[in-house]
Formats: sequence, structure tokens, C-alpha cells
Amino acid sequence: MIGAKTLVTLTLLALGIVAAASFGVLAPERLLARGWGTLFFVGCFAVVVGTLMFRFWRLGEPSLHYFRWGTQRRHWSSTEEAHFVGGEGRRITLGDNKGEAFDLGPRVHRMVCVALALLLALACIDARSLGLLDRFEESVTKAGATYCPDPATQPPAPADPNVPGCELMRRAYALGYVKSLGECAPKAEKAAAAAPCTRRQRDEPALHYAWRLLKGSWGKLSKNADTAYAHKVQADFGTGVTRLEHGESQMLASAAHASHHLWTNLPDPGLDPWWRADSCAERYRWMGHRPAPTKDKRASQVLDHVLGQLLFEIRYDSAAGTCREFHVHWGAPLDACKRLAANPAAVLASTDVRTVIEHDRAGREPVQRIVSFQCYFEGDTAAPTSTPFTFAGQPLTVGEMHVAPSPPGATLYTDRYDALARLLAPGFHYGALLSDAGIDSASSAGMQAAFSGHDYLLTRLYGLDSLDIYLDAGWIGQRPDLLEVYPYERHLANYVQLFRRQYARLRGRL
Amino acid sequence: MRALVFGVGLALALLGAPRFAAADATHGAGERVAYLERALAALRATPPAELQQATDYAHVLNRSSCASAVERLKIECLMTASRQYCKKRGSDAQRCAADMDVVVSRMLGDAQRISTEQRYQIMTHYKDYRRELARESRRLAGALAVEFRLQMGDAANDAELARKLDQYCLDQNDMPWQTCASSLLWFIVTETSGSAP
Repeated sequence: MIGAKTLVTLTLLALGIVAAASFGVLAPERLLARGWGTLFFVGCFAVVVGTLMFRFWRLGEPSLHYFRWGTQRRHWSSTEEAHFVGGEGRRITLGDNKGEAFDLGPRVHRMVCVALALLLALACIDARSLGLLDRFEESVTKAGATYCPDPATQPPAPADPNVPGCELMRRAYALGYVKSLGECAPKAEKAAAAAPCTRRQRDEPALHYAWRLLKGSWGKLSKNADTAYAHKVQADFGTGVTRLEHGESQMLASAAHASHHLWTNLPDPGLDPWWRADSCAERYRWMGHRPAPTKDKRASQVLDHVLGQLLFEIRYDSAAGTCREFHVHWGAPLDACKRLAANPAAVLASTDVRTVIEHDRAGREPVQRIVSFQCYFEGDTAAPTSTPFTFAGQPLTVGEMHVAPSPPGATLYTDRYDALARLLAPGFHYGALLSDAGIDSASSAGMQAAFSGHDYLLTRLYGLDSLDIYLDAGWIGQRPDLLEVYPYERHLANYVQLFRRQYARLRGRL
Repeated sequence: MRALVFGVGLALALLGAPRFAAADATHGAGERVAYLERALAALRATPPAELQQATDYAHVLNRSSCASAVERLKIECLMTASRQYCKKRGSDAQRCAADMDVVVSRMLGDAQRISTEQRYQIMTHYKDYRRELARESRRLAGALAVEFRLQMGDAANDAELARKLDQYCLDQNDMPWQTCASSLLWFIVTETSGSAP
């Protein structure tokens, strides 16, 4: 039978000792490392807090309840005891203490409390905590202070006599050849010329400082309440509303936010016009991995497919633009770009280029980002060119590229990707270091041999990971069966992502 | 003398090039479907314990003698070791080869599908990380099989199932054909027979 207070304090002490021992709080080297000052503070803390615990928890008085360990199997009928925990054979009962339970004496209880507080302090207080406590008073008392710095305590600006050129300058100043020392003047002079401090002076009475604050606030209020200020706010508000209305009207009219144009000599493939949002977005949302042109107008179908994959398809990356803002002018003459550069007003009269440029009155985007012109011609090859011209007062350029037509039996059109990518995003380059195939290029013959066997058809195909057809198609162009199972999701995705990253740097929309 | 050697080499190269260029298609649609059908039959005919043994063998090879940073080297090594493994099977060599192909392909596919970050998380959070990796692989295969079933519907026989598998895996945009095919083959055969290793 043991008193509840005694049981709780002894349990806490045991737990504290075990925890302190397991965490190394009582290790001699750790105690020594705290320093005598810290240990003295810990001791004082333990005595004070332990005594307070003893007093407030009334540990000097006997417990009101006791716990008893019982093993009797009989059923008890006492009204002064209640079952606390356990079963029929072994249990702990809780009862009212009338002085028969064991309780520690007041002195021993107090010592236990002090020991508990000591363990707590040892676990929580070290030299750093003392330092923080030491600085606490200073930080609290000065938290709201906004005094001007004391000029007397300001460290003097170092006068460096070795500043390059200053020796001559000082000599010239002394002889009267110059009127000012300029950069070589002592730094204190600059400090004196700085703006006056408006915070509270160190010798300023509190009421005077309060009056100054009140006066300053009133001055600001009266300044912001006069009619001129009201007119200015009204004008700003009107401008903002006008801009919002303009933006709203653009949005309601579905105005184009960019205008990109591509002229090509290839015939119209007979597909839906790109500027119809309901057709183009849907058509380019999901495309085949590679162009699969049918009978006639094969080159046009390939161009359409490659453009769609590079710019709009969302299978591998978010689209680089909106298809209704990208216009392909099929069947253009070979001098279309020259005509554009010579007379842009006439060529662009039927387009929305001027409207897009005028939409961006605020100049949020460089015009070259929201308006672009390219020419892609198949036929005789020629070096790519870029011709500057001016339209609507804006300097613009048109890029031109001539490539050879694809061979009649071609199944792979990776050269079209390269040509169009370089035309749409000048400076784009796709090399071995950018490829996901790795830089250990395999010999062509070795790779062909690796794909000539008829067993292990599944495992063999992992070898295609190290063959990037967008770098060099080579022999695989003659293997349409392998092109069907080629890992486009790896190499084409990488190509498209790299292209779009470069394209986003150059082109965009409002 | 050097000119003669060069000439002979060039002639051999010219003779050899058309041979490769005109090589039979190994992965045409017909070949793929027929191979998938054979693989289905092979997996169905193989006892679960034998499949488990093949899986363990492939994983050991992958971690030991065939471990390489060069992917092509690893693949060649795994195929060679698998051939040697199956050579001991005698009359079951062809079935064993089909099994091993699916097993190795699935193992290589898992290495791609379970990202390095995910793999690291599993290895740091679980004591038996290999078991967790196997569970994650099974989870991915299960999700793929559900999508396959919902999209392609039931198949009356293995020939139709192989054709649907091929079609479905060609349309995948986040994994190679062979990864999809081996994962589905394995899951469909082992899970429907209740003998997943």
C-alpha cells in the first residue's frame, strides 16, 4: 500500500534518472563541459523550482489516496476501495488513505522534487542557454527602441592613404590646383552629408518625439487628402479600367495573342485550316510517332506532321504555342520571302500581324517574340538565310530554308525535323551530348547484327535505347519493322522537349 | 599490298552491306504477334517454381556478371547467359528461351519504369527492399493489365490476345513496346493462374 503522491514522485524520479542516463546527461565529461557558472545556475534553478513543486503540489501532506497490490481471489465488498487495474487474481486497487499507506516524509519528498528539477535543468540548460538568457533582457528592453545612432559611437571612416591616385590628388588640393578632393575626401564628410535621422534622438523627451510623429502623420494625411491627389488617383483608376476593358474586349473577341507565319512551296495537303481552333487543337493533340504519308502530297503531309509534333502535340510536353496563331501558307512562290522583305505591308495586309503588334501597346513582349516569319521550300538546296525588314515601325526578320525533297521510298523523315527545328528556332542544335542515347556510339554493322536474330525479340529491343534516329538514322531507316517498335517515347520526347525549350526562349505570346 | 587489302575489305563490305540491308524483318507485325503467342504458350506451360528460378537467375546475372554501365553490353551478356541457361534444358530449350526473354525483358523494363528516386525511397524505407521492388513491379503491371483489359476487352484465345497485346503496346506513349508486352504477358499468365512469384 503506497500513497499516490509518493508513487507518482518516485516514478517520475525513476523515469528521469533512466532518461538522463540513456541520453548521457549525467556523463562526467558532459557535466564538466558545462562550466561552473552553468552548474551553479542549474543548482539554483533546481532548489527554487523543486521547492515550488513541493509547495504547490502539497507534497508535504499525506496522500489522499493509495494504491494497493492485491492477490486475493475473493471478491471484496469494501466501499473504500475500488478496482484500478488488473484481473481477478492479481490487481491494483485504489482506496482512500487514512494514514495507513506508506508515504515519503516531507524532507525526502522535497529532496525528490529538487532532484527532479535538477535533472530537468541539466537536460535543458547549457552554456548557450545561459547566453541566450543573458541577452534576453537586453533584447526585450530595446525591442521597440528606434533611436538615432550616436555619432560619437560611430566608428571613424578609415582614411586609407594608399587609395590609388589619392596622394597626387591631395597634393594638387594642397597646392590649389583643384577645389575638391572628390573621392579622396575623408569618408566622414560623406556621412555628415547624409540624410538627417528622423528617428528619436537619444536626448529627446518622449512627448516631443510623440508630437513629431503626430505632426508627420498629419502632414502625410493632409497631403493625400487634397484634391490634386484625388484627381491623380481617379486618373490612375480610369487608366486601369480602360486597360481592363480593352483586355476584356480582346478576350471576348478571341483576339490572337501572337502571329507566326510559315510560307512553303508545298501544296495544301487538304487538311482542315489550322486557324480553326475546333479542328487544329484536336488534330494535333495526339499524333502518330512518325509521319505516315499516304499517296499524293506526301511532302505536305510530312511537313504538317512534323510541325504538329514540334509545336503542338501534348504527348511528350506542353504545347509550344497555340495552333490557331500559327499560319502555314501552302503553295507559296519561291520568292515569297523576298516579297515579304521588300513590301511587308502588301504581303501582310490580309494577316493579323498588325493587330497583334497593336495589341501589345504596353510593349510587354518584344515584337520578335510574338510575331515571326519563316519560309520553308523543298527543291534545290541552299544555305539558310535571314532577311531583316520593318513593319508597323518594328524591326523584324524572315528566315528562309531550302532543303532537298525526301527520296520517294523514304520511311524516316528525321532530316525534316532537323530542318524545321532550325528554321523555327534559330540556333537550335541537337547533338550527341543532348541525346538520351548516351555518348558511346555503336558501330553500325554491330548494331545491324544485333537485330538480325529471331530469338529474344523482346530483350533485343532494349538495344534501341542507345540508337537515336534523330541524331543519325543510318541503317535503321531500312528496317521499317524496327521503326514500328522504336522507343519514340524516349528519343522523340527528348528531341521535342529540347526544341520547345529553345523555342520558348525565342517565341511566345501575349 | 595495302591497296589490295583495302580493296578486298571494301568488296567484302559492299557484299555484306546488302545482306544486312535486305535482312529479314524480325519485328514486323506478323513476327511480333506470333512471338507473343509463343511466349504466352511457353509461360503457361512452365511450372511456377521454374519461372521463379528463371527470375532469380536473371536478377543474379543482372547484379553480377552482366552488370555494366553500357546498356548494349548488358543486354548481349544477358542474352548469352540465358541461352547457356536454357541449353541445359534439353527438349524444353525453346520454351525456356521464350520464358527467359520475358523474364529478362520484364527485369530491364522495371529498371526503367521504377525511377531512381522511387527506387531510393523504397530502399531507404524498407528492410526487405527487393520484396518491395517486386511488389511495386507487380502493382505497375497490374495497373497496366487493368487498362489493357478495359481498353481492348476480352480475347477468345491466345492468338487474339497476342494480337491485342501487340496493338495495345504499340499505342503506349510512356514505355517501350517490349516493356509493355513483357509486363502484360507475365501478369496475365502468372496472376490468372494464381502463381505469381
